[in-house]
Amino acid sequence: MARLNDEGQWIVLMGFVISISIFILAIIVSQSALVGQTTSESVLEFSKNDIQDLRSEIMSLKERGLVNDTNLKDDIVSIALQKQNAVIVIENRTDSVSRTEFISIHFNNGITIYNETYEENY
Amino acid sequence: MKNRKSGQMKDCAVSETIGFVLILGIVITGIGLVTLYGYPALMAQQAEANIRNMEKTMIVLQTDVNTMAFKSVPYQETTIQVAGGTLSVVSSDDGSELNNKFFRITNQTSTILPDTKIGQIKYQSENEPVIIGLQNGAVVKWQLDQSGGGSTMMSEPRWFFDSTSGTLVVPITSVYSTNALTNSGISTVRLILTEEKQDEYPFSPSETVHITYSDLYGDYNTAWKNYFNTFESTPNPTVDIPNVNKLVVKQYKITVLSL
Repeated sequence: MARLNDEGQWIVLMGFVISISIFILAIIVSQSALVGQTTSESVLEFSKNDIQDLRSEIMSLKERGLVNDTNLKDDIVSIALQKQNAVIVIENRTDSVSRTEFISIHFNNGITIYNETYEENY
Repeated sequence: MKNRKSGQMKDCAVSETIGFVLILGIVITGIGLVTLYGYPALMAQQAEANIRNMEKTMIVLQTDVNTMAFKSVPYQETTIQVAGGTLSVVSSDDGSELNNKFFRITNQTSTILPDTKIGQIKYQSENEPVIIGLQNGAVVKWQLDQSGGGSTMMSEPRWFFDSTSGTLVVPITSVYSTNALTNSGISTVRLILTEEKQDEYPFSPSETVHITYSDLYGDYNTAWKNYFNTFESTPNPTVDIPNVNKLVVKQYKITVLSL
């Protein structure tokens, strides 16, 4: 019998290495799909527009000098609770010593909590 | 010695028949091992993959329900794949023993929400003793065994307590269907928001609100108990939330048109 030719063994070895690499890659890809879904969901959940709308409304009321109107405040709070499932607290106070007007906005819809204090000298 | 030195091998004892028998034996042993151990393991893996897939699907359905409840979208339609089990709807007006799961909200003086059945969209696996339910805006999983099993919450409902204003918001989402709906395979879940109600209870001075989840048949108790622990530590599926200035109970009725 002729001498055994073992020069092709590296092909078998490479096949083995490649198949294991593909297996590991498949696991990584399946994990990343899960992460991608979670990330996109959390981006959708973030209520950026709700907060922007609320802030713009309050600033518009401030410009028109209506930020202390209780009826308007109650309406904003009710609409936010009804439509955005969010609890909102709006507070307006004035410090006569430093001549500064403070407007505090608190927004909480169970997922996003947003607090802002707007200061303006008069 | 002479042969070994020169690198040549003797092939006098080499028999093709024995070689063939040996290789055939190895192949048959391999096939036997795979059939005995590999195939059942593969099937178990498949069942597990189906359950994992359903957990994700239920979270997608939960997002649909949340979109309808909290974003004023009246209708949602999602096509999902139900494999290795059955998807069904337990309507909130179903009087059977299967549906003895309800929520109750009281304060120190009165009943705010009487016992309210909420129904569920339920997936029951056919291979593993597992039930996954979309119940009251939460995805809950019940692992059955001889002693009743335990449960866990895969995704929480949108309840929250705002400590700044002392407001507790409790959305109650009930599932309803006019017909008995069951499906397996490709399923198009069509949901419509049929009723929406919001009640506000201002408390002055602040009060303690008791929320009870009662489950006579199934064991989602542990899941809800653990969720209630995120508000106040409790050993039961009942929670007392103190210092509530205002309680908001939002009730949504979701009708499942088809599965």
